[in-house]
Amino acid sequence: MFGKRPPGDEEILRMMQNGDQHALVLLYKQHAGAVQRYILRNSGSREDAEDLLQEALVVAWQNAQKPDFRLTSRWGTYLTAICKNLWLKQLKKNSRFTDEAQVSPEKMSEPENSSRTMDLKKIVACVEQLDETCRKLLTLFYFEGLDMEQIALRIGFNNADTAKAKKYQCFKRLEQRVKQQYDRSDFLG
Amino acid sequence: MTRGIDNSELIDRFLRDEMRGEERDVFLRRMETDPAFRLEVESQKLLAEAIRLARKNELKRYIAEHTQTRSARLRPALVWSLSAAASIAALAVFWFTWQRYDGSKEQFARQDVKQEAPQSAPAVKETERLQRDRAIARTTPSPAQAEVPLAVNEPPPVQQEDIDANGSVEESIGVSAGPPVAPSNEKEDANQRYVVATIVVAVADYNMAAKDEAETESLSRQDVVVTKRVRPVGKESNRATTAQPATSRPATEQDDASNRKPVTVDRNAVQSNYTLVFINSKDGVQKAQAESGKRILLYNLPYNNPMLIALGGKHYLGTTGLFYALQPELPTPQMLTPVKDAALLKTLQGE
Repeated sequence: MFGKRPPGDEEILRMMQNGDQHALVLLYKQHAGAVQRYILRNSGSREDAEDLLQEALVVAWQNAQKPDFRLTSRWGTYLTAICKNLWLKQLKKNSRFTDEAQVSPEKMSEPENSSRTMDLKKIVACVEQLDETCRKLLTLFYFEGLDMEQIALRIGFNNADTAKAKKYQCFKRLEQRVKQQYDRSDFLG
Repeated sequence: MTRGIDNSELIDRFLRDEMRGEERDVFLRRMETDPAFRLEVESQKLLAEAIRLARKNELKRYIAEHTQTRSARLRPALVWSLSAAASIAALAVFWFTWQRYDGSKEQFARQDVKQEAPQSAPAVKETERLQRDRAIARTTPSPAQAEVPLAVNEPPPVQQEDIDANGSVEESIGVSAGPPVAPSNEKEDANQRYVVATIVVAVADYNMAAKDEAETESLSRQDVVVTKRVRPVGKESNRATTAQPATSRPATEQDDASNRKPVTVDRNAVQSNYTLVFINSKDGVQKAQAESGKRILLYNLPYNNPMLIALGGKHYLGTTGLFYALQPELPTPQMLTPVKDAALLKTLQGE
């Protein structure tokens, strides 16, 4: 009659720990306003605020998977703190660029190297082409940082050994896929 | 396969920072003394990085799709932090490992040992080839090292030194220079600053939502958008507002008369001096030279909106915070002279 009560902080944490991505959407909707106000007050734009909150949510998601993670404050406080750190880092970097006039020409090619990101992007595409089980298994291990027992439980394998063997197979499959994508010209022209 | 799993697990433990004390020392020593093992570690590290990035993108896309926002842009700073582990060296050895040893790390290890033993003639030849390839991979310069201009006044051959570790010269800006010609109304505009050309770089955007992918695909692979405008610049933004994808060819005039303040300088005269050319392939220099009919000087510049500025009858090549006076009358290595004068720097920055 009065609609569903929005989930509280603990409930959202449990959702995250159970791998329910909808928790991120709930957090986004709850805290977008506060983050946006902070960024707008500090020389940023609405787009910057959106970017930062997404970035912060990904960090929060990753942290929430850690077995020793405890939420000691409200999500709002936690997320705003991450956003502030990310934003300060960004502002610092921006100001560093404007202070670089005295840098020697030898150093001028050191900043961002987008060809590197292009290479990584190719491999990322290979990851995205893997079948769902492999993708899920590898990301649970390398991104969420779960151990084999937790992965077996999450995906529904019999035990950790099965998960380990499957993970090795999936990794090999990814290696093979990347190998096929690359050719010599990617490195030596 | 068991050995493979064991090795892979060991490397994972190292990469996840789960090793301590003696075990870690032994691991690090093995990396130092066993090149095959080192390659295996580098390869696994690179793939793990890509897996993390793929997951991160997936989460951001999910948030964007369910909140009716767009997926986050990837700022240069973030791009860099995300891709730091993906060194070109790692990519190169990754490729070498696979290409030569057919993907089998165990086989690689055996081959590596074999090189120590006396070999038959074909085997020696193969070893020499491998060593040569490795030497190339090792000596391939960083973009900073490859900053020396290419040959002048003749079709400049792209040499190994000019090719970056990724096998291309795609981070280079060619400056096609003719004799210095002052703007026709130099007197009137001597202290006016004009951005003659601006290069905007489209950084690969992993986080673009699916709906935006088509729009950005052309940019992400081609890396760069070149726009060329002539306009006086004060405090206003010096970012180009019109853009066209361009690779390996001279920038073309993209003047948007309706979006520009009146310009009194003779734009044709300014542009006949220099053209910025984005080079993104090995034969890009030759192509650009053939198309422009002018000499091409190649410089590696950072991707921070490099632009060509006309000021007081002179031309400057600028990136964020860095400005170089173009002096074609000087020998090529000195053609780009860093501007150190604080007042001039301020003017060039449009302050």
